[in-house]
Amino acid sequence: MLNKHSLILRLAMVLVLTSVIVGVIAVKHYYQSIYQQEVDKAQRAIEQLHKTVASTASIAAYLKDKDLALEVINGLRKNDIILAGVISSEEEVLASDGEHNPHTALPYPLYHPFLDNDIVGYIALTPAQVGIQEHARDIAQSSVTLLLIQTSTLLLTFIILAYFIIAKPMAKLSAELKQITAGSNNRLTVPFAQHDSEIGEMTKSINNMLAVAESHFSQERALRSEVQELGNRLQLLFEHASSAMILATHHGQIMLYNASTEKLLARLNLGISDNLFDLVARAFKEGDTVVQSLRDSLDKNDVARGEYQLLNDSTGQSIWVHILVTRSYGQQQQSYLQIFIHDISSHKQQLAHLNHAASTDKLTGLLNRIGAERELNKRFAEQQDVTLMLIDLDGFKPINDIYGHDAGDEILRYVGQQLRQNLRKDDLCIRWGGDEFVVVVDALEQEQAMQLATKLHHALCQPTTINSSEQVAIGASIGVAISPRHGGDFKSLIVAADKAMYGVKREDKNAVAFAAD
Amino acid sequence: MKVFAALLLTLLGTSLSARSAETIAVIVNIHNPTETLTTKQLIDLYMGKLIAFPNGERASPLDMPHDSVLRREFYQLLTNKPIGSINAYWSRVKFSGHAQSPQSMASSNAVLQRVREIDNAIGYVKLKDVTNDVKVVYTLAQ
Repeated sequence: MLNKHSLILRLAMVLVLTSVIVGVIAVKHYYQSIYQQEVDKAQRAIEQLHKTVASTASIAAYLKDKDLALEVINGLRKNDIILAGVISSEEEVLASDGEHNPHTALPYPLYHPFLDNDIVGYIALTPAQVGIQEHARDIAQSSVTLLLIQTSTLLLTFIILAYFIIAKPMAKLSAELKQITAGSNNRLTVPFAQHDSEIGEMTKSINNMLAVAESHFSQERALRSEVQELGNRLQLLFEHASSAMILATHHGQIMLYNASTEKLLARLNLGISDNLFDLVARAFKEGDTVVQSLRDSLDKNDVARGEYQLLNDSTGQSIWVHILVTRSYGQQQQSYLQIFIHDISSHKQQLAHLNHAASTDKLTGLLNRIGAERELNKRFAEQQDVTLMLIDLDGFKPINDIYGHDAGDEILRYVGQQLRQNLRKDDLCIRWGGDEFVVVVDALEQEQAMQLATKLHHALCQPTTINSSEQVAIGASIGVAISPRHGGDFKSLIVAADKAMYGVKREDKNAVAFAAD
Repeated sequence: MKVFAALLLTLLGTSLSARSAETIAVIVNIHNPTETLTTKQLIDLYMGKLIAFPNGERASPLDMPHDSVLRREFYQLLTNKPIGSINAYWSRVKFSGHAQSPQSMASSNAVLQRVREIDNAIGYVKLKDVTNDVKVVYTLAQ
């Protein structure tokens, strides 16, 4: 429980060391003072002894009475504190006993017994130094023993108290703290009777910290689950998107792509590649052009979009896609490329279909006016010269009136067939409206144009069967105009052909006429 | 002259103090060559330290009876100590036998007689009792 780094042990060691040092110094001083006191005491005692024997010793010195002197000395020597004594007259030593020490001996003058100021001799008394020292040491030793007992009792008490009041509660707190996982709702128990002590305060502070940590942890957990949920949703969105999605670095290094990307590439018998632009170059028809246009647009606007055709799939079907590339900026100014590729093939087909429907006359399958204008404008835009014939049926109205609309429709279909059969594939056959038709063919000389017009007129005027039984025949008035002789655009050609055609109508109908210059 | 001085001192002493004693004279044989003694010499002679006169002649000090008033006054004047101290001194010294106490005489006349008869005797009497056939070597007065 108490290792060598324990606070209590360290405290105890410091205390013991301090006690020893202070004790040694104190004892030394104490011993010296005791010793000095004892020496002083001994000196006083010796002085008193001296006074006691002074008159007798004086007499001995006065009379040089050795026997008396010896008696005095012997008497003095009975005292422990006197080691030796010497009485001398002015001329000689009268009596001496013991180990006289001239250094420690205390000399006293002996006066004339009857003349106060006359010195007649000396008495020298040597104190028992060893005895005094021993006595001082004994006193000091018992004091030291007392001090030692007192100090060690205090120390022991202090250490035991410190152990129970400080070290043990701290160790208990520490063990308790070790058991507590950060973020849990566990708290430390304030040690017994320490509520307002430093340890109690510390415990409370730790508990506060634990509370803060718990709240942080729970916030973090909530945040993490939110992020996870978001991540799951994003993954769902990403993985299940019908569009191919690719994330790449601004260099085009592919970082992420979804299942649709793989599916799309699989249709082209291609695998994913490391670089986006490399992939685009391989996957698209005229891939290099696509890459170039994407790059240019990205550099300008950070966005590139367009509809491009991929390579045909394994079944040979053409695939059109809409591609959107966006440059987005992440943290630390890093930019990424987000690529969305959406298959618009079916959309394209639908569009083409609608387009076809819009430009075709339902009844005859020929171009209608809208389709015709688009086609013709295209040709004029390409500066192609053309030959235009405006055909108006003669005798159509009576058939319509007599045999009904279905019969009229049959006639119109028949006309369309006849025109198709007598023209080339690239020539345009147009139902201009009602019983009017327009034919546009490549540029011809007047003679050749009139030959073709006559041929068509002949074909149209062949009788046909309507309502499965009736044989009928119609006529037609045809006006012919050619560019650039009668105008450089569609409208002026129509006007010229129309004039020629009305010229025919005004006379006897059912004939072919070339437009006037 | 000496008589006059003694008289004068006596008169003065009487007038100044009721306790004042008469002047005491220390006397020796008329043939003794000693003319005068110092206080120390006199003390030493009477305390047993000196046993001879300054000329080397052995001295024989004479004392008054133990309880005599003159003896008490003599020692008081000589040593300035009460007679008890002197007695105590002698009782201490007599044991070892190194010093001899002065010979005790019965009266002043006996002292005078002895000094006249013996050459080396020395004694003390009241000054007024001094006769011409002895020599005064020291006087003690208050």
